[in-house]
Amino acid sequence: MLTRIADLDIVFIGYDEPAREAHWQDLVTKAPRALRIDGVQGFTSAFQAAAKAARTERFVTIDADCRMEATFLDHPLADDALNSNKVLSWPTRNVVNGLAYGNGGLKCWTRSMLLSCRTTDAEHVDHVGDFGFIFESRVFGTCHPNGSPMQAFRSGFREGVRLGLVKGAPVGLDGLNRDLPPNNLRRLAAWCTIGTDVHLGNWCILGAREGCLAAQTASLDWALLADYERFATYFAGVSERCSGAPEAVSRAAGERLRAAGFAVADLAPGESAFFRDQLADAVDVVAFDSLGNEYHSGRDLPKHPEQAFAAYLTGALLGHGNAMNNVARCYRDGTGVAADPVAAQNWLLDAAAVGNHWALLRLGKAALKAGDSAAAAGWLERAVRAGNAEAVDLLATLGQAEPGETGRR
Amino acid sequence: MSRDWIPVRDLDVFFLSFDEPDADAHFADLRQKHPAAKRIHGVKGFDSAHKAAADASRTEHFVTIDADNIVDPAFFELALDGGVLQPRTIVSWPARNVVNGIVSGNGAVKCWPRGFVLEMRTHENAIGDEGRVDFVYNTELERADGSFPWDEPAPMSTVYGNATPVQAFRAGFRAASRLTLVNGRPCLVTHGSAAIWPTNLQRLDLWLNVGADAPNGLWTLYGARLGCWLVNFAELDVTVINDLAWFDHYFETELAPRFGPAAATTSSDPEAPDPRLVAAVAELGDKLQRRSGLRIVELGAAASALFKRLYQPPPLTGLDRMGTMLRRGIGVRRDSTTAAAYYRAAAAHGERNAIHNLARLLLMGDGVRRDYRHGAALLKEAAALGDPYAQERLAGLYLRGMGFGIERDPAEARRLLEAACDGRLWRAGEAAARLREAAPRDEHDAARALIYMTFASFVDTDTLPERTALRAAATATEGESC
Repeated sequence: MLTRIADLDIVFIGYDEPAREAHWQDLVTKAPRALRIDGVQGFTSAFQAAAKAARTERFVTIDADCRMEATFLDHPLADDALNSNKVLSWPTRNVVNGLAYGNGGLKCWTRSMLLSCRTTDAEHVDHVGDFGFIFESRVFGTCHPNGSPMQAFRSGFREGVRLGLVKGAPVGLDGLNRDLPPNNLRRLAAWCTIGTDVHLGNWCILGAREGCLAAQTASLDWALLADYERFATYFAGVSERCSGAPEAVSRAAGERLRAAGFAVADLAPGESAFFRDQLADAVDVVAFDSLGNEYHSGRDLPKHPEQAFAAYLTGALLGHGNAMNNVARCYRDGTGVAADPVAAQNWLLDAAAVGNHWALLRLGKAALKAGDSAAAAGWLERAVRAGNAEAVDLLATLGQAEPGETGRR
Repeated sequence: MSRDWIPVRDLDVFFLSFDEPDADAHFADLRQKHPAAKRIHGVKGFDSAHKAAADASRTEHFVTIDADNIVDPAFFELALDGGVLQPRTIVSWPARNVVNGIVSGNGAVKCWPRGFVLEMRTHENAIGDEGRVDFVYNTELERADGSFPWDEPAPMSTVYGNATPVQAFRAGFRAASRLTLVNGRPCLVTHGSAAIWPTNLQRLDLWLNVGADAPNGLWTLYGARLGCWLVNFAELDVTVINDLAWFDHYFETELAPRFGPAAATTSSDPEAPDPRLVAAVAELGDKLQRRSGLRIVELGAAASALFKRLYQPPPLTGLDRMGTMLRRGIGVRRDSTTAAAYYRAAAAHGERNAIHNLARLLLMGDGVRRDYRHGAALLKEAAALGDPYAQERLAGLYLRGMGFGIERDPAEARRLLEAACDGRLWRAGEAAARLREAAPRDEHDAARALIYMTFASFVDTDTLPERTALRAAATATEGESC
């Protein structure tokens, strides 16, 4: 029976990553039996090649721009996740900007899910593609997207595009602050700001800024994202524009973003290091909320309300507003835990205190229902500031004459 | 298990003010949110002020709010869990600092047991009456003052410690200089910044660098840098930070001549900062960085504001400790199921103690469904991360063999016990030595056995915990015995 990462085959997948040889050497000192796939073009083909090479049904892949921590090998895997038909994905910390979230360079697949995948490489715009994912919270490695100017620019560009999408569509430059989920807004700003002190970090920042601008101003050639050769041609043009040094062009892009009200900054190297150290994600707290949702819905993991509640509560204790909100819902409905309306209200208030817009909206609505329009205005104004669209309308119905926000200045 | 709830509104609420410039406005705000709030004003000293509140309180537990805070209206809608309102448990809610975005776990809104406060030993001799920093723990869970701290996850107030230059200066000075203390003594000269506990160092980094965008924020930065400098490199007695009059005096005699007589009363505008102040902050930063190795960056107002927008305070510390309070029913009502969530959250940071504690719950089926396989795997992980207690426990399981990937393996048990002993868990030494003596010829090593036996003698018999490695070896496995 499988219990730890060390029990699974580990496959290193390289293509053109400039530092792949060094990263491979690093890997084999930690995991001497690791396998390697090199130079297979296309996302699906490369991962299918890895599946063919692996001898265990569940196996782990590590992208060639990543380094794994040795402690990952001792990390145990939960049965429910292992037995699901999902890809497990661990965040890796980006050495340019310190972010660690969602899809990192460490993943655990089943051979059959990859070998039965019929999607061609050309159809794969996004890595997430056909597969369902379980996102893990702990960070077990670093991601080094700065091996060459093009690699750095491309990694920034992709995220600059992707983080600005809501349901696959751009929100427009003026919609960034308003419509993006808070986490994505924060990450996008970090990509566009942090890294001036890191080797080739300015290319990363330029990529993020230009990717964001292109996507939000409808000037993006979407085929770029899937086609490496096309991207190389595109990058040749960018490089020419920059005459080899991205700083000036990057500043101009930053100026355009600031003009649209999107806060990015041109940091001195010392400031950049300060930002990265202080903003680096120690753990991806969102993962517990997602896991709770999986157990709650029973779509890909067995439906298990108690496990869902436990996952939500863990995320809530780590300070995640959505998870607090879900804990409140579980107490309200008595799912996974005995119903307790007082506990439900407590967690809803906690979620509001950390700025969760759903919680603020619900408290605003409850106050409206109770006829306390002053309190309602207070909650709703905060909900609006936290990015809740419905609260804008509700607040409008309250009228402009209401007293201003309470308890804030 | 149903819980008894006590609404915050039913508790006496006290606003503690001394000389905070915005105290009247903040009290008015508080009264608007909670009309029954009472004010304790002008009582000198942390201990005396809290005892005054306890004296006036008609409820068994009461709430205090520091005068430089504005409370989130959500707070007064909360209800407190009767299981947490125990005779020696102090509940606190984190507070967010408006100048630098720091969310302090040991916040400015607290709920106290009245009887405890009336009898508590004085805080006046403790330097950090606000910070967790120099609160010493008697045991794993209990503080030197006999209390059990319990931290809630959501911040319920915002600290505005920047109403005037003097207040902003004082806030920075006190907080930052206190963060350079290790065992109550300034550490930068003797041990360097590496001696500062990582969480505190991270916080100090913020005090020293963020805030240029806030009104009087430059004064906070100046105070923070000066506090570190004077206490560590100019032999200023650190206890002055408890003497509020000292700050007024210092401002008048040292700073007014330098920054102009109106400096104390003229708020510093982040849009148009006094160039003398900007230069003084930078000069001090430069000096401090060269002598101490502490990081100094000069964030302009825009960068400081952006930083605060992006900053997400790290999750609560002490989750593992609170998990153990819940598991053992110390300071709070026993609840192993909730304890597991606390351990899981702490384990998400890779806190090896918490991984070990979670493994124990799984092996015992305490509060969670018993799961030997998962428990064994987590125990191995904690041991691999170097937790000596997990290594000792795992060694006990290897001596018996429990299945689930842990088959009988005395050599592995010996290796783990030696590692535990190397990690200063001296009591593991005796069993390690005996196993070394009994090992087959190729691993037999009398000299090493003697070394570990010597280590074992370091154990103070008074503190010898009830569970030694030998007992673990002699008794049934954890799972079977419970």
